[in-house]
Amino acid sequence: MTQRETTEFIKSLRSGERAAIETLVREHVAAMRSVARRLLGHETGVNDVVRDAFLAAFRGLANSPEAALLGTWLNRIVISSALMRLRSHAKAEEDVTPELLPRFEPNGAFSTAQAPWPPDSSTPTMSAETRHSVRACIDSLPDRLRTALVLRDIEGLASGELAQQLGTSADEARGRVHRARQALRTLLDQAREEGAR
Amino acid sequence: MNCEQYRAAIPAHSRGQLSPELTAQVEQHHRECGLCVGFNRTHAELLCSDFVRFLDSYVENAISHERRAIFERHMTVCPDCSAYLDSYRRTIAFSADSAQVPEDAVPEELILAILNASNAR
Repeated sequence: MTQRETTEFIKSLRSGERAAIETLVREHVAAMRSVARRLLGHETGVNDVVRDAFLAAFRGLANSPEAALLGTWLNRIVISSALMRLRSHAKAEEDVTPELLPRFEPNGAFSTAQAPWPPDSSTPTMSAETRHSVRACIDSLPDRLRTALVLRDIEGLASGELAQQLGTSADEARGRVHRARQALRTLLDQAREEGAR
Repeated sequence: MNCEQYRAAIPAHSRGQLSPELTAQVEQHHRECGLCVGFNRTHAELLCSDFVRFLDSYVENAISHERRAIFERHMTVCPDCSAYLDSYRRTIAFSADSAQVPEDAVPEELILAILNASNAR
C-alpha cells in the first residue's frame, strides 16, 4: 500500500467499513491463530480465542493504532484472550513437578553429573522433526509455565509487559520463565536420550 | 593422582560419589598441590545451586559486572555448570525456533464467523 492508501485504510477501519475489516481479518488471522495455539498448547479452543480477540479488537476499532502497529496491537489482544481462557479453565495443580528441575546436594553441587549436549543438535540445523518434538515438549508444560515461556522466548515480551500480561509481579514472572526453561531443558534432554536409544 | 585427574574428579567428589580409594587420592592431592588449592577456591566461590538459581539473569545480562565475573570464573573450573549453561541457552534457542512449526490452515468458516460477528456489532 502507498502512504495514501494506508491512511485511507486506517480511516475506513476506524469507521468500521466492512471491506477494511475483512482485509484486517484476512491479513492477521493466521498469525493470531499461531499465538493462540502456542499459548493454549493444543488446538481445542484456538478458534474461540481468535474470534473473541477479533471481537475485542472490533470494539476498539475507533482507537486502533497506525497501520505499522496493527500487528502488535492484535498480538496483545489475542494474548489476553488466550490467557483469559486458560484462567477460566485453570486447574488446581499448576506448577512444574520437581523431577523436571535440577537437584542439588546439601553442599550445593549438582546431584547428578551434567552431560554436555552434543554439538549436532544446535538450532541452525534443526530438522522439522526436532521442531515438532520441541513443540510437543512445550505443549506438555503446565499452563502457567508454558504461557510464561511462550510470551518471553517466542513472542519476545519484555519483563514488564510479561508480568502485566500474566497478572503477577515481575519476580514471579521471571521465576516462571526460569522454571519453564529448566523443565523444558530436562524434557528435551529426556527426548534426546530416548531418540539415541 | 595428577592435577588433571584431580580436577576431573572434583564434581563427583562434591556429590560424595567417589570410591574411598579415589576420595583418599583427591584429599592427598588437595593437601599437596598449591595450584589445585587455588582451583578449589574458585570452584567454591559460587555454589552450583546458586549458579543455576541466577542463570536467567546471567543469560539475559541482568547481573552486575562483578557477579558476571564470578559466574565466568566458576565455569572455568566446573564442567557441570558449563554444560548446564550451554543446554539452557540452547533450550531458549530451541523454543524460539519451534515457532517455525507450520500451523494448520485457517478454516474459512472461522474467517466468516469473525466477519459475521463484526456485522452484528
